[in-house]
Amino acid sequence: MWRYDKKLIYPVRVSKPDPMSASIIISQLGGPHGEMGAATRYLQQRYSMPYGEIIGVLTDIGTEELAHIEMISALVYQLTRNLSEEDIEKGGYAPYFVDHTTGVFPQAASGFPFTTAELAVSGDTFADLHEDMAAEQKARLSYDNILRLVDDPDVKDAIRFLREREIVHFQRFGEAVRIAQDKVNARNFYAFNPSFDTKAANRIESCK
Amino acid sequence: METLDNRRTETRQESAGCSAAMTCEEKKALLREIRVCTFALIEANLFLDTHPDDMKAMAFYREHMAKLERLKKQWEDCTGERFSADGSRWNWVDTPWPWQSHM
Repeated sequence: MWRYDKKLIYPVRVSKPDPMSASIIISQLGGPHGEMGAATRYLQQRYSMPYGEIIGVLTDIGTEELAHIEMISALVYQLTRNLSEEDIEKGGYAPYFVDHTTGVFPQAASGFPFTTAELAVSGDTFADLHEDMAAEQKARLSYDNILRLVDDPDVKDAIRFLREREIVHFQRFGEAVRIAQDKVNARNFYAFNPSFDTKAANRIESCK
Repeated sequence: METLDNRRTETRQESAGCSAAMTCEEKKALLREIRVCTFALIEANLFLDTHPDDMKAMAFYREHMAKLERLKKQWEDCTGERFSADGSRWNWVDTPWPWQSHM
């Protein structure tokens, strides 16, 4: 279960509206490398993961991604506050505005709505963990590209925090791969799929 | 291969407020109490969102917050299992996950 903490994981304080930046940054909410996909991917990979340490990593990083969803949403919200009709047209925000006004809808910068088609829950320990490492690198590169495109130091500060978290998460997933490798056949990591081929993974604890 | 299961048996009985090891049924009953208290807090929290001036609800909420703290401490002292962390080893990663247990 989860409980809500009424604070952002890192402060978002944007004073200048900028719909152009908002329409780029929104990709990290509902785009192919976005935080909504990250949270969904990690939290849903937990059930087929056989090792406690790695379920812990997936739980904690998945939970942190929920907090990142809120940060990106706060950025989009603050960048589109108090817009005039002229701001909307000049900032290229009209195609978004026509359907969503200034609500925060999970979509890619291209306008493509959030989809789980861009994430994987393969049910294979090593395939899932390598997917996760790649996902962290893809999020990192999207943040790098956002940093190339936006100028506002307040926006950059929040984006830099998120970019650094991707690097830390990549590191933890790398360690998760090593932990999993230590638990399987050292001569052939792929001799079996520990998510599926062992009974221990499917055990339910109960009173005798 | 080291599995989750053989490490799960190594839970320790430490310190305060717990004379003997809890039976499985006692653990189940205490967990139920924690769950009931947590759910009461969720309901009170939600009720207070739409009734922010209700002092009776506020008192109920505070009382159950304190009760939950006590129950969680009892669980941790008596079972050696942590909801979050442990002293010598982060045994949060060793105990069963909610979907691995019928408790």
